[in-house]
Amino acid sequence: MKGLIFTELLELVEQRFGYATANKIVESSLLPSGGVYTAVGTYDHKEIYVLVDRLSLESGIPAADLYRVFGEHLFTRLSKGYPHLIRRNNGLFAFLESIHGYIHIEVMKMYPDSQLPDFECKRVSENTLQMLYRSERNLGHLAYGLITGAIAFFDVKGEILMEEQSRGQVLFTVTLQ
Amino acid sequence: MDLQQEIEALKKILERERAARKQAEQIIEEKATELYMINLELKTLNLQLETKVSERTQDIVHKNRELQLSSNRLELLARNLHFSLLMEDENRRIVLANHQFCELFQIPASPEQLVGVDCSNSAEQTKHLFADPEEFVSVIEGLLAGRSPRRNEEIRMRDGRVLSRDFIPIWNGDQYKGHLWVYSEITEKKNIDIRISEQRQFYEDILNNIPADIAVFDREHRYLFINPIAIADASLRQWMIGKTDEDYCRLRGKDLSIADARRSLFRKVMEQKEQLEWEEKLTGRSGTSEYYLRKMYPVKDEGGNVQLIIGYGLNITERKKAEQETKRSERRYRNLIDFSLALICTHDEQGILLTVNPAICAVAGYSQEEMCGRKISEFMPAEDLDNFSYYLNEIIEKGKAEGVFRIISKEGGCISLLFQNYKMEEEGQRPYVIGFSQDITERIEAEKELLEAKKLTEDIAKAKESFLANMSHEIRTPMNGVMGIAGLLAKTQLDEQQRSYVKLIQESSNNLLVIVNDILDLEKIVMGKLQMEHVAFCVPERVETCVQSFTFKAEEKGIQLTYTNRLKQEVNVINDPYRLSQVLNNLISNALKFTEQGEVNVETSLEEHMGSRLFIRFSVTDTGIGIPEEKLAEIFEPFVQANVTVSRTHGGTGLGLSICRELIHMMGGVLKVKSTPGKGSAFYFVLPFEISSITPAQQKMTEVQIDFKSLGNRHVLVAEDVELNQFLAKHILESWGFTVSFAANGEEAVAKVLQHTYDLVLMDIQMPVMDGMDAARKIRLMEDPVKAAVPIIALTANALKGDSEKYLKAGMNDYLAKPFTEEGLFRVIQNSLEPIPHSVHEISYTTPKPRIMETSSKLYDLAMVETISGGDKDFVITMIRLFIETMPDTVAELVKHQKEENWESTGRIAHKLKSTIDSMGIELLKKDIRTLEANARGLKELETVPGLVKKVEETVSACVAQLKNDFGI
Repeated sequence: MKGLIFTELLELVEQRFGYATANKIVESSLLPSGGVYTAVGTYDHKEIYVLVDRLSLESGIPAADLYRVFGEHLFTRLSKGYPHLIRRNNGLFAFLESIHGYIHIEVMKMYPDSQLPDFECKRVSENTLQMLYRSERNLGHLAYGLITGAIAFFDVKGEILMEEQSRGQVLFTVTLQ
Repeated sequence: MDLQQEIEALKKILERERAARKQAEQIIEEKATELYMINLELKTLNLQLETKVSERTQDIVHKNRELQLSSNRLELLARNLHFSLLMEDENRRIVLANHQFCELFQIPASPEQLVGVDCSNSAEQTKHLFADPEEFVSVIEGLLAGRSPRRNEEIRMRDGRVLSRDFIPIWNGDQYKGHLWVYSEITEKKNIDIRISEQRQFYEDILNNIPADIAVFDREHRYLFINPIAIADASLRQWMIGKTDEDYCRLRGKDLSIADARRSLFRKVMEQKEQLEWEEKLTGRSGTSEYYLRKMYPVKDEGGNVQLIIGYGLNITERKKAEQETKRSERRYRNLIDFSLALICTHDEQGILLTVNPAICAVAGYSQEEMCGRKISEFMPAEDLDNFSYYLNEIIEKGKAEGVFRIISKEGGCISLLFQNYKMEEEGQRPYVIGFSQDITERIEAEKELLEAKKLTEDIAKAKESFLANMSHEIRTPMNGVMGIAGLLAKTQLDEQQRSYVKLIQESSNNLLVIVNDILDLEKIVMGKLQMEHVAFCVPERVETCVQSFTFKAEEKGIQLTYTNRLKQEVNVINDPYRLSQVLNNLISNALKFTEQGEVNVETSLEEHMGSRLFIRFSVTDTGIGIPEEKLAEIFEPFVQANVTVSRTHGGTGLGLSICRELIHMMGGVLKVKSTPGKGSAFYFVLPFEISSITPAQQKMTEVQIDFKSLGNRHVLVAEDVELNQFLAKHILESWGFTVSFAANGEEAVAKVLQHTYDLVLMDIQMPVMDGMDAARKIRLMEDPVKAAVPIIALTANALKGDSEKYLKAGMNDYLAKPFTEEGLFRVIQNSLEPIPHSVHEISYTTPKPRIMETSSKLYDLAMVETISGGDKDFVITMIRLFIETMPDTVAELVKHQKEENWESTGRIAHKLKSTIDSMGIELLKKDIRTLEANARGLKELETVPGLVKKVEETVSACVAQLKNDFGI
């Protein structure tokens, strides 16, 4: 997993929970990387589970919520870091639809060792888009947070229905108001 | 505390951040290097890409150019094609047309101008150009609707041209993109096609009418062509095309073996690629064997591969039969040679034996192998080798040779072979010799003995002959004395008894003379030395003369001697009249001798007439004592008489009949006798005679008409080196009244011609010093025109055909071959001298002169005198001398009496002359003298007498001259 995810997570923890909590969860997690992350490096994705579980334990906030907040925060960071990858013109759905066919391809060009999830999109109606998330890493809640961040980025109002179909496979139904 | 904890946490975070930074720096460093490398790679790739792009650009430019070129080519092609092209798009707008198209359809526009023109209505617009406009339009519409290619459609134009048209639709995948029209004018090709078809017909006619089976096969032995000689039935012939011999055999229910045989030969021809021929025996429907000579010729292409095979078959049954017949016949001849007892061989031109038959091997003791291939001369004794090379020359030059060879057998014996060999020449073969011979070794031995015996006999005979001749002469000389003195004695005064003694002496001496003559005659006959004459004479006349000579004797004895001639016509024949007389005289003499009373009759009658031959029967019948039957067989034997007492009573040697028999035999008859003792005998014989083409009278006429004195006195130069010939010429020419001079060679002749003027030169060709040819040339070059023009006649002993030209070229007027006759010489001389106006001569020249007798140039014939003399030359000379001395006076007397018209004396003297003329054999006068006597005595046709007398005078004079000349008296 890209180092960017870890540096963004720890930065968010430092902002919201203070340096001590951030240090605490890092040290208590006994991570193989020792908690030393750089955005351009690549690390074992399991370390994200341990860090979030440690934070949830320290803060008493369910892990799912932590992932959703982090997802929303991450989208904001990504939209600022890589604005050329976001096509604004054709609206939210077009953007969401382009994740799998465009953005992920561009990401793979920059980081060929990346392991990216599948996003299969299906427009159910003009206002409804179904997105099927499939990934070994089973980070559906992170995806939920990212979609929430996208809705906010496009400045629209909409609902997200999240149905976990099996481990690593989640169906999101995004309905615009 | 919290602060402390916070600081501690921050320190820790800082530491981690430092570590993260270092980690990030390291990653960046790595990435930067990686990036650098990638950049480098990218540059290279970019460079390569640019090169590729540049190449591709060039490629595209090139392709564009090619496209343009190909477009130009297409246009050039269209322009230069022999075809007329028109390409239309799917909407029937013209895409491409060529110049030829415009010309073909007489379109007054350039092909470029046509591009884009709509053709939808073109068929209607141009249909008037075609022979059948409506059909043209409908076919075009059909093609456009069908959109499928159509080639080589033939279209006839109204102006007579013939076009070929292709319609080619253009498809791009399943999209129709238009079509192409291709026209070409094939009027000429059409005409050529017709001519080719005619030519093909011509060759087919030839093939169909060649008197041989002709077939053409493809490479699988299937029939492509078959001519009517091979298969007459046209439908069967048609059926055969594409079929094989096996098919044919199956169709006809024939044995497949022929087809099999042909197929294997066919394969052989295919493999060897060379022609093959064989003979085929077929059994015809009637069961007869037919033979064919078959050939297969492979027809090859340029690469030597067999394309076709031509089969050729000729019915050779007849030839085959002839060959078989020849073989049979050869076998027969072979057997004939092998089993023949005759010795048969063949050898080549060098004398090397080629074949010998078993008979030769049996005689020579060698096997065939030992003999063949060897030279004949190897088997011959060394001393005969020259003979052999002579033989080889002879057989090669003349083609035939015969004689005797001697060969040495294997056992060493000498074998004589009588051979008759022939050179055989056959076209295309070296000549060879076939020899037939027989073993005559034994005969040679016998002959040798016989020859020795014969030589002994001949020697004895020769001794006998010379003894007889001497004896005859020795007897005759004293006989002359005896008879002469007896004659003198008879003229003296004698008493009766003395007279009878003298008569006895005379008779005895006469008898003795006859005996001596008879012995000599018989001897001549036995020795085969008696020569028969072939002279024309009249048979009854000759017999009459014989009979007449005995009239006196018969009268003396009181016996009637008669001659009965039953020959109806005048019989002029050729034979020996003297020998006939001798026979008749002998028989008449005998008859008179043995007849005491009664009669003797001589008869001639025609036995048979066959073509130009007469068979005349002669008989002498008497009423004498006859001959006992048992003696009849013996009387013809020499020295035999019917009765030993006969000689005592009647005299004679008994040789007469023997001589008669031999003479008659020589004349072609047989003397026979019938006799009844006491009643008489009849001697008879039949002789064959050739009828003479001229009568003796004509013969005399011809001779009479040559008047040798008609040319007058001419001066002739005879150039002749041989004295005898000089003498002969002198004698003849002077008898004609000529003056004769001689020259002994050509040079002398030329000199004499220069000195004197001659009427004629007789020029011998071969002479010493200068020959006749040169002399003639020199004379012709003389300045005096008269001398240069003197007639010259060549006399030559070697006149070959073609020589005449040579002589005439040398300047001779004529030539005469030696030995020449007086008449011949006369004729040639007369031709060369000035012609004399005397028609009689001309007749005589044109009358062909028959060959009467060898001595025809002689006016006399001493045969009778010689017979009488019995070989005594002195006697003959005496007779001649007597003739020469007395005749001129007697003739002068005759002339005198005739001039005085004292007919009785004329007749008397004529009678006296008659016997002399007969005995001297003056044929020319024999008849005339009798006519003269008869006319003078009978006082009839007296106007003929002077002419006859004149002829007698002249002939006798000439005869005297001849005799004087001939005998040097």
